[in-house]
This record gives sequence, C-alpha cells and structure tokens, in this order.
Amino acid sequence: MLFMASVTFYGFWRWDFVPVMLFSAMVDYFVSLAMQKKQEHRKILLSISLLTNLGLLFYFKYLLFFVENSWSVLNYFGFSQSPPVLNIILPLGISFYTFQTISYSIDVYRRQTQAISDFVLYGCYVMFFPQLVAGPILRAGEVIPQLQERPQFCSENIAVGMKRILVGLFLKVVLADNIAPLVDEGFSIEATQLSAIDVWTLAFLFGFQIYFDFSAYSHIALGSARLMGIVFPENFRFPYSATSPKDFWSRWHISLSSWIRDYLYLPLMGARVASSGTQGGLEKVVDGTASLPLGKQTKKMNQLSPSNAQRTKALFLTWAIMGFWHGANWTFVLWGVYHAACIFGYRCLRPFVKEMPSTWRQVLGWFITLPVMMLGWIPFRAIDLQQAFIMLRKIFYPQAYFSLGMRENTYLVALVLLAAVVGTECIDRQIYQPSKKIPSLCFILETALLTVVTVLVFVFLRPITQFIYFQF
Amino acid sequence: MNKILNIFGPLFFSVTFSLLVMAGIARQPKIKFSEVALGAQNTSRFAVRDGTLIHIQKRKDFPELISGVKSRNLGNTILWLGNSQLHAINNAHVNDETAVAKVHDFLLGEFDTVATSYPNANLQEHLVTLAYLHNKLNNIKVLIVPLVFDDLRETGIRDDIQPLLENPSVAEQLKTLQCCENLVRGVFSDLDPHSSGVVKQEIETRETLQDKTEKFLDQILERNSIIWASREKARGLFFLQLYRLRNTVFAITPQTKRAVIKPRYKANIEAFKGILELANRDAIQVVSYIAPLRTDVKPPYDLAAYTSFKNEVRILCSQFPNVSFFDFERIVPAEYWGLKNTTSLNTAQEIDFMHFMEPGHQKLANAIVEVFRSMNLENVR
Repeated sequence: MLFMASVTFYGFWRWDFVPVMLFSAMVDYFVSLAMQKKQEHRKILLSISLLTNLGLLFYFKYLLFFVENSWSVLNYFGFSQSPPVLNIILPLGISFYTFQTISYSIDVYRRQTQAISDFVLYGCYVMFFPQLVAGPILRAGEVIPQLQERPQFCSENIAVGMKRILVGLFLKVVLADNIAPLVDEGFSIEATQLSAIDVWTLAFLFGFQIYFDFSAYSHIALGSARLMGIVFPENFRFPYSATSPKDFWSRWHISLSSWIRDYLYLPLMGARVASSGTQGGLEKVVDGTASLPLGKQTKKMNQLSPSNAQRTKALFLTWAIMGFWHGANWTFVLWGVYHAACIFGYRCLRPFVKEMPSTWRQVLGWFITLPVMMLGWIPFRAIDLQQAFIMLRKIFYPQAYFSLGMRENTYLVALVLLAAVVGTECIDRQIYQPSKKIPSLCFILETALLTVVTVLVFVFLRPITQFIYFQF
Repeated sequence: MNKILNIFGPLFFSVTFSLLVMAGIARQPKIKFSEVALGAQNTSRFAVRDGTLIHIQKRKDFPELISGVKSRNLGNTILWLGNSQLHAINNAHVNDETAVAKVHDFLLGEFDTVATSYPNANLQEHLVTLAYLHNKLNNIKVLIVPLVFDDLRETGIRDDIQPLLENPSVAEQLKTLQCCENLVRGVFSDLDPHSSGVVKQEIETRETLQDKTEKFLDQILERNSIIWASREKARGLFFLQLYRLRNTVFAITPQTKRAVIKPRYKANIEAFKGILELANRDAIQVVSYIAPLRTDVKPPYDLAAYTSFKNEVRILCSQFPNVSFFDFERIVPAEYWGLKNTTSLNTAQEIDFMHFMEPGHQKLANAIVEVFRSMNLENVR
C-alpha cells in the first residue's frame, strides 16, 4: 500500500515520469541482487548502476547545459549554426532518488548492506513519498529495517508528526513565501545598480528564504514519516548559529553533505569507508579527519592517509560537484568552489583558532561565519556568473556602501529575520528545552506557540509556490 | 487519559483557539483594504456615464470601460492614467465627483474622457495599461499622464493587471519599443521562459493533477466555509497591523522624507520614455503634468531630488513633438487639502499629501480643460 501510495503521489505531478523513476529503481534492485550473488562481477555491475543513474541525471538535468555551452564554444570558433531546440522537462526529485539508489548500490558493493529481494520493500525505500522529491537522502540501512518492522500505531508518533508538519508549513507558507517576492525583486534589479548594502541584504534574505523553504520541506517529510512510525535523521540543526564552516556543514542539509562525504569525498581521497550513514555532514571532511578510517581498520587506513595536496584537490572537486548537483549552471559550481575556499581557509586558520579562549572562539566565529556563509548564497541565486561577480565585487568597494537600491522594508525584514533566527535558537536552548522538565510549563508554551503557528498557517496557506529544492 | 491529554493537548487546544480566532475575524464586517490605505477621510469615486464606468481601477472593469467608449462612439478618446489622487476625494459629499468626471462632462461634445487609476500606480503599470487600451480602443487621441514623484518609488506590475501582458498585441507593442528594452525584457521575463539565453530548460507550465486538486479543494472550501473564505481578510489585517506597527516603532508619518530608490526611479523614467515613444509612434497627443502637491507644509520629498526629477521629465517631454508638459504642483490651494487617519497605532490624524477635496478636483479639471483650449482641439482631432 505504501509503495502504491508513493507511486500515486509522484503521479500527481506527472504520470509520464513515473516509469523513469521505476526504471532507475529497478536497475539498482537487479544490479544489487546480482552483486550479492556474483561477487567477482561487482565492479562491472556497480558501473552499470552508476552509468544508468548518472546517465539519466545527465540527460534530464545537464544535457541542455552541455549543448548550450558547447554551442558557445563553437560560436567562439566561428561556427554560426543555431543550437538544436531541445524540449526536456526535468523530472521532479530526480537528483534525490538517483542519489538514493546510487548509495544503495554502493553500500551493497561495499558490503555495508544486504541486497533486498523484496522489490516492494526496496521500492518503498526509494520512493517513500514523504521524502521522494526533495530529501532527506536516506540510506538503506537507516530505513529498510524500520520498514521491515512494520511500525505499529503510536499516539506519540502521531502528535510529534503533526507538530512537525505544522512547523514545516509555517516555515514555508508564512516565512519563505513572503520573503520570496523581496528576493525576486532584488535579484531582478540590474546588478550594477545595487549598492553593497543591497548585496548583503539580498544575501541574508535569500539565505533565510532557502533555509526556511528547504528546512520546511524536511520538517514536513520528517513529520509525515513519523505519522507512519518511521524516524528519519534530522536534515538541519540551526545552521545559522554555526561558529565555523565546519560547524555549518554539520548543520546544513546533513543528508546531502553526508552522502557527498561517503560516496565522493572519501573515495576521491582514496580512503575506504567502513560504514556510512546520514550523520555528521561534512564535519570530518572540514577537519581533515575524514581520511581517518572508521572502526577497526584504523591502523591499516592510517597508512593510506592522503597528502595535503590530495586532500585539497578532493575538497575543491567535491564541492564543485556538489554545487553542480544543485543545478546545471556555472553559478552553482561557483557556489561550491566558494565553500571549498571557505573550508580551506578555515583549515589553514584552525591551529590559531584552537588557541583562542572558547567564548571568544564561539562569538567571533559566529560573527565571521554567518556573513561568509550568507555571501555564498549570492552565486547560488544569481542568474548568471556575471551577475554573481558584479554583486560580489560590490562588497569590496567602500563607496558602494553609501546608497540604497531597494525599499526600506526590505532591509527591515532582513534585520527582523536575523533577530528572529538568532532568537529562536536561544529560546529553544534557554527556555523550550529546559521547560520540558516542567510538564505544565511545556504544555502551556507548546499550546501558545502552536496556536500562533496554526492561525498563521491557516491564513497563509495558498497553492502559490513550489519548494525551491523541487528544481534540483 | 492523562497521557493522551499530555500528548494531544497542545495540538487540540491550539487548533480550537485558532478556529475561534478565525471565527472572530470572519464575523467582522468586510474590509476594503485599498480604502484603508487611503484613510477614512478619503472616498474612492469612479464615475459612471450612460450606465457604464468611465473611470476604473480593476482589471475586471476593463471590458465595461471599453464597451462604454464603443457604445458612445464619439470617435475621439482621451485616456487619463493616474494613481489614487485621481479617484479619491478628501471629505467627500454625496454627489462630489472627481476631476475625471468633470473633464468628461466638459469635453463631452468633442471627446470621450476615460481613466484608469491604481493606488500608488507606477509608470511601468501605466505603460502596460496604455499598450492594452490603445489596442482595444483604437481611437485614443490624447493621453494624460500625471507624474507623481512618490510613485517613482514603486516598481513592477501588480498582480491584478499582470494578465494584460499576456495579450499578444500588448507584448508586440512593448517589445518594439526602443527606449526601454531592458525594462520590457524584465517585465516579460516571468512570462516567457525562452526570453533570454540560447537553450533553456523547459519550464513546466502545464497544470498538473496536483494543481487541479489544490484549486478544486480551495474552491470547495471557499464556497462552503466562511472561516476559509475569510482568510484573505485575515491576511490583509495581519499586514495592516504590521504596517501600523512599523510606522509607530519608526515614527513614520506622511511628512517623513522618502528617499529616491535609484533602480526603481530609473525603471519608471524608462517606462515614461516608453509611454512617450508609444504615443509618438501613433500620433497621440500627450499631456503630462507634475501632480498637485500640498505646498503649505514641508513636502515629504528631498527638495533637491524633487527639483531634479521635475527638470528631468521636463527635458524628456521637450524631446517629443507631441508632448506638452505642465507643472500643476501648486494649482490646489492649501484649504482644499485635508487630513487622514493615522497609519500608525495611535489615533491622531495626519496630513494628506496626495488626496484633495472636491474643489481641488475642480481646480485640476479646470487646469486640464485650459490646457485643451490652448492646444487647439481641432488639431488633435
């Protein structure tokens, strides 16, 4: 029933793309079974899986980009033909379900998980509707055992699930959707006319929009799964409270960054992964400790510890690919490289940072990390590289700080949101979490909070915009 | 039982309280938010002649305006574009009418005067409206364009009139304008996924089953639940209170100086050039004027920027042979301006810089008629 529900859910968007998803799932299903049976052909079988999934991704997501860029190069050399008109629609969630099926095949290849013979169970893992179109990207080892157990009805799960769905809806329809017009307007202004303050404001505003939008989806996905008794790993943990790039990447889109760590970064460095999971994000990668093996293989793997140059190369390559995963545009690659540079810078400064007193490290770290991370959203949201570079250049010109190019409300909203985001984490840590020890206080606080959330969700719920991550 | 209450209590009570709040909002009388923004002392008047509107604000009224012009069949149409100054009367009496109605009646034998006015209308919206009505009416001979400095802080095409851009003739007219290519590209970028770049990923525009289901459910709920139907009112109230709170916290009053927002200013000046080019191309006579402003108190403008703006549009107008430019800033005396309810959380009244009383409308109408007399109407026809 869950399998059929998931297929129907996807079909609500477009039925004609259901076979694409089923094809991707089936290839990995059969490949994994074959890998388990014929150990000697594992490499070839894994190549089939990778070629199929990456091929699908290339055709649907990157072919137009490839053609456009090829034509630009050909035009440069005097070839003046018009490019072919390609009519390719990006299937919803393709980046997520292909990554999920790839991870399954690789886990079977690495013998970290057993291939499943029950196709319906496997299909439920790949197409589980709460997370099908925008993650979190799950690992077979985390979900399949829960699905196998067939969780029983539990009132606590229902209540927790409903609360998470409500919070997700609040983040999406009340916050993200109301920030969107301000961001859209700002980025539609000719970049040369924007001031440095405008660029900072837009960076922060888009940073908030994408955080609310994407974490909203994650809340709804986690909540929906919880209603059915399935527990997903958290995908966000107050990322804008991070005190270093390392900290940020252990709080932001954790399931993707963990995936990238286990299936891209570590293999690129030549390290073997003893176990994998949707935990920790890229924390260890930033530390440079990810090259150290996990578990019993420590000694053996230490001998394989990569050089600094190798680690840096892997870092930049991983982040460029991670950027490209988000979309077929050079702006995303720039976003990835920007983060790689931030992490590289942090690695270099780390010995000095370690010497600082803890409080200073936290406060100063937050003051530096937040704007640096926010600025990274400029290339992510920019229409093209030119716009991204013009905007980023502005912040280095002192004279660009003396004018405003947007309505006063835009700056005000950015400031209020900044205060709210910082305040929410403090309230959560200082008031809400301690209040759980006093049931009556917790009851009152939750009721008050949920009333505000419910009223606003009810008032603002409109089918007007999709989630940003649906396009990736 | 206690456990169930602990688990579901917050959810149950929050949903109950929310429904009570929404029921309270639903019971409140209908609020016209465009009127709230005007203030209680101002009344919107849209003149009707021969049973049809000659002055409109909403897209839904365009067919009525167009059919009215066609049925009167006077041959020569004056199109007056404006903001709320054109449709609001401060301290209005029952039979008071706006300058549009007065000019319409005065010139009736020779011209059919019609108007569109939107609150805080910007010149980009005027450009789109002109392109649309020019095609629909075919006989616009004179175009009146007031220039309100404050409205150059606005940008974009409001949702209500955005569908006008989907009209092929509007797109055709706007895309052939040479003076404001960037602006027009920006205006259409949302509508046309292939407008820039060599090959673009196909954007899904077909209505999916999900869209249809959501719309269907929304309509059912809208029809059958007064609480669901009152959500728009609740949204309006929410933003109104936020607006009032902002004005109170930052002590924003009508006299607070408004800074020029350069990108918006530039976009509107480009749009104004577009209006003049479009009119010039089809030999439409243009009367453009600096809108009346209350001058007995300090205006909410930076005077240097305001003077520079007036000079800029004056020079621009002089570059087109079919354009006459007038400065009507001082034509409405101080006694014809009024006050309006405050836009903050206190109860005081504030100076209204935008809307005047009926005698003010008479002054504006007289000034326009005087312009027409001086223009030699025979030439226009």
